[in-house]
Amino acid sequence: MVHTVSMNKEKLPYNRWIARLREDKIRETQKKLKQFGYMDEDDYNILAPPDGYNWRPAPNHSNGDFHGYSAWASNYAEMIASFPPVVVPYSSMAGNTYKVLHKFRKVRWNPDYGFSDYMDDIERYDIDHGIGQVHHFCGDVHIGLELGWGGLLEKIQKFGSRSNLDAETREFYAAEESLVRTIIGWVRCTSTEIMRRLEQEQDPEVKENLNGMLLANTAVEMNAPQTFREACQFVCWYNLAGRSYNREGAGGQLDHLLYPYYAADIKVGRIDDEDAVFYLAGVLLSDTKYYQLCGPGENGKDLINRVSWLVLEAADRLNLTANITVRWHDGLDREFFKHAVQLLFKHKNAWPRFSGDKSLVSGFTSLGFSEELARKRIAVGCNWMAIPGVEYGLNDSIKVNLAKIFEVAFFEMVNESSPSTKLLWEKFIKHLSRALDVVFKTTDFHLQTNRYNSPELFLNLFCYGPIEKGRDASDHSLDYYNIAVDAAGIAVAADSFAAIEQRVEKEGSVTWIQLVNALRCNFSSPVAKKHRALLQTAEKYGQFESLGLRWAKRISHTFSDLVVAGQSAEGARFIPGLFSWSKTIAFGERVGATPDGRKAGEPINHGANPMPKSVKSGEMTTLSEAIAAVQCRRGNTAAFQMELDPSITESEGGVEKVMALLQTHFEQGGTLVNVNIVDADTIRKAHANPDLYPDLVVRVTGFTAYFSNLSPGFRQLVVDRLVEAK
Amino acid sequence: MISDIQKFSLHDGPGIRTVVFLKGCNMRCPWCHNPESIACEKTLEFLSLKCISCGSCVRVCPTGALRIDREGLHLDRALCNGCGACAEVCPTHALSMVGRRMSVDEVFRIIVSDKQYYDNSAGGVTISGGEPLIQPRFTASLLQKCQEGGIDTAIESNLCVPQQVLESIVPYLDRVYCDLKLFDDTSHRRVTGVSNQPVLDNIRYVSRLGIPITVRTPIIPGFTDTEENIRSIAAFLASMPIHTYELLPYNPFAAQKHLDIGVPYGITSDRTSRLTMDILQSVAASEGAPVVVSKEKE
Repeated sequence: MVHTVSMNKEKLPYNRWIARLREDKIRETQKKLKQFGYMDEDDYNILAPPDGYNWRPAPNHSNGDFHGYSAWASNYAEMIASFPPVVVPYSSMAGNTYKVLHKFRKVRWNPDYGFSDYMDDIERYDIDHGIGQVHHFCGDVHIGLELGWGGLLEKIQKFGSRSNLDAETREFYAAEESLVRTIIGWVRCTSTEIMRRLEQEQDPEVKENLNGMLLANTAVEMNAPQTFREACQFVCWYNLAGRSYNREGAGGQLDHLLYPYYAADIKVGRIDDEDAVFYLAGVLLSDTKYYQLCGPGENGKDLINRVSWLVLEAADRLNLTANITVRWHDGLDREFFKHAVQLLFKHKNAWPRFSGDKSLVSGFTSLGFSEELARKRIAVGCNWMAIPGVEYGLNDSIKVNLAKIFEVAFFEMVNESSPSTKLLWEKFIKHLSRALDVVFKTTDFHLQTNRYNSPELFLNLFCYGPIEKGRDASDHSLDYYNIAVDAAGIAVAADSFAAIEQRVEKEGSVTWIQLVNALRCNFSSPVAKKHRALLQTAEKYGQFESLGLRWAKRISHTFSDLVVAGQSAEGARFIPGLFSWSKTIAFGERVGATPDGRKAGEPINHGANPMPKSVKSGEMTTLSEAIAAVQCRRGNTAAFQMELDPSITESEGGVEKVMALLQTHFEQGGTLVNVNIVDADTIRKAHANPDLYPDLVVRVTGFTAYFSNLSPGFRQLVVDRLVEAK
Repeated sequence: MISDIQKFSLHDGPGIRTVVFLKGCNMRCPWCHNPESIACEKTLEFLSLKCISCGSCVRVCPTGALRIDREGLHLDRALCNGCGACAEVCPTHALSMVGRRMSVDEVFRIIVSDKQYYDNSAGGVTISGGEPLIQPRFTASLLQKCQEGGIDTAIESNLCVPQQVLESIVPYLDRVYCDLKLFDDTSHRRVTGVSNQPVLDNIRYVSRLGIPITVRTPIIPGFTDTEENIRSIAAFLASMPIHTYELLPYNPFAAQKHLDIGVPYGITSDRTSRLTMDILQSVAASEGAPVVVSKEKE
């Protein structure tokens, strides 16, 4: 298949409009920065609210917050009613949002359901537990594309009108119905706004576009979409409604979802590729959802189709942030793979990224699931995979800080008579097991009670079970409860073990007492500085056949086994991964000095990557092998954050070299690769003067972000990583 | 004697490669970018930015070559006997000995660990230096082992050795990268310390064998950047089937490296200008050589 998009017909000025939309978006980002300050998370493409916007949710609890089905539904309805409808006349898609209801909440849990029994351990081990976490699983947009909002409403009414429903279930259905009516009202209100703009518009080309927009938007107010533009518009409303409800951000297999509409429209000559690209650009602009492209279908054959190319084409023309993942496997179309890497080189905006089918599938099937199901588990989050519509995951929500576990174990051990790495390991396992036990129990507690706190009213609509059973997705209504448990700080823990083994036990160049003293004074005394230098130069994780690598493998594989063995009274299963999201700073702030030479409060390592400066500059193959070696191998990811110097784009065959690097990483067991190609000098200058680089995009962790929007501390982390790559 | 092994090299041959830098060179080019590889024996390298002035090195130095004052650590290379005692105790590796003896098997184990990357990128191994041909037995054994292991092989060499030395290597070579700095032999002797006659003979020899050979000239201001030099080299190369003639623009990055190992740096000029490169490229092209300007900097 050729990827060039035909431009031989007289068209509306799509490219000019896309360029204008891009400029609008960059301006809006800067406006949000001024209005809200820094944000160390995704931008979501939502708009800054109009001046004077002051809507606040109505509390239903004495803590000033809102909890439960009815309160979420009524507040959502009021919040959406408070939004002025958004119509950009030269965009293909109608609508946008200003706020996320979830973010209005002051606390994330309903205090009527206490979990104080766990708080001591949660604080002691600095656990990010799952209680009160929302979304982080994936709806199946197919459900909505087949039913439309009207069909969803009928479905709720059908199941909600059954006799003998208890009060809680009746409340559930009433809330779901309210939510869908709110969304329908939002879509209709936007149609009215399109009509108003049409009446005012003088430009015949813009008028033509507005007419098309009106037709598509009106069509999906109640009915299931029939055309490609209608399907795209429905996906936009799916994106906007989910995002504005509780920040939901999982998109799905976009090429596969939209292809039937594309193929039908092409067949009857309703659209051509230029139209499709324009519509897809509107979808990408509606939200920064995570979409997967390509990858094997249930039968193992690649899902690639013409829409896969057109999504990349739309992202190429927009050249903004994009959370698009290309799933690599043996059967991936090589030209498509090459084109995806070429786009990384072309824009250096950190998209697309790549996931590795082989390890994801073998890991998931090792838990007893079928290959067919494993292939349906697609990349739809920062670091996570999910099976749309059937799997609840609390993905990217639960994190165990291994650096903190190590710290607790270390100081407990040094109080005993004969410290050793053997004893330290035993202590480490003891405390890790205890922390995980807290994770398992708090997850059960969440599954028992979350519906009284923050129900999944939006995603319930797009899953198989909740509406049919009258139960929230967090309440056992889906087929699978595969709870993700991620470890953070693996390099800090592994390097600390390695430094002790090498410098204290093998060489004796630092004694146990000297080590303890150095940690307690945070390496501040002259002698402690020398000991720090020795510890820092011990063999690190990320180096070829190093002690650090050996410890990292041991820690990762032990963590993995402990997580998989986790027991749940609620029937959940636990799946391990390595990830820190953007919490490398926060996790580090709560850990004192560590034996790897890291000072108190300094950030921990990022995800599965080694600590900065551990790996010899540019040795990507060694780094890649190390990260492949510490994978948890159970179907979840340990992402490789690959920082490449831009000189690779000038190297002869640079694209093919990066393709080989990605392919080999996946063949060796890698699961997910996020790539940044940013010039070290540019990133330094942007750090000093972020306002001068409003469109500089970096992949922070799993998400891409505008560099200028990140906090100075987080920018510094990104700078350190990228400069090191040089 | 190895000075370094660099994995994931992107600029020393096709595909993803591992470059093995051997220690010792038979030329003395004042602009050398790997000055730590010139001496055959171990070389003490001092990276002052890494030094924490802990004094460990001063205490073990048998010759008094090291001292500390308010400005930090000072190394008097005239007094240093190269014993390496200081490097052994330096906690930060600010002082380190460049060069270690490794067996062919030890080096191969590191090389072969990236075989999957070579296979997926049509890459391989490149033996560089220093000058790989002044350790011919080691180089031949390593290349042979790589080739038997299905790994593409290359050398980066000045080819300034007797032909019979090269004859022992070529059976195991898939490609050759050769530096030819100056065509005029008198100038070559003056700048590098040796004649270029073996270089020219060996370029002819390799090209006759049909082994793909890329010849490179670093464009060093005041040394190699004359039109006459480039024209002469290009005319020489145009008479044989070489793969590519590459012109390498100069940059001054090596100055700090010379400082770190206490070797004077003989170049005072800045980078080669784009205009100079364009002119020299056109000169070489006019002689019929398959010339390109490298994006890499010499």
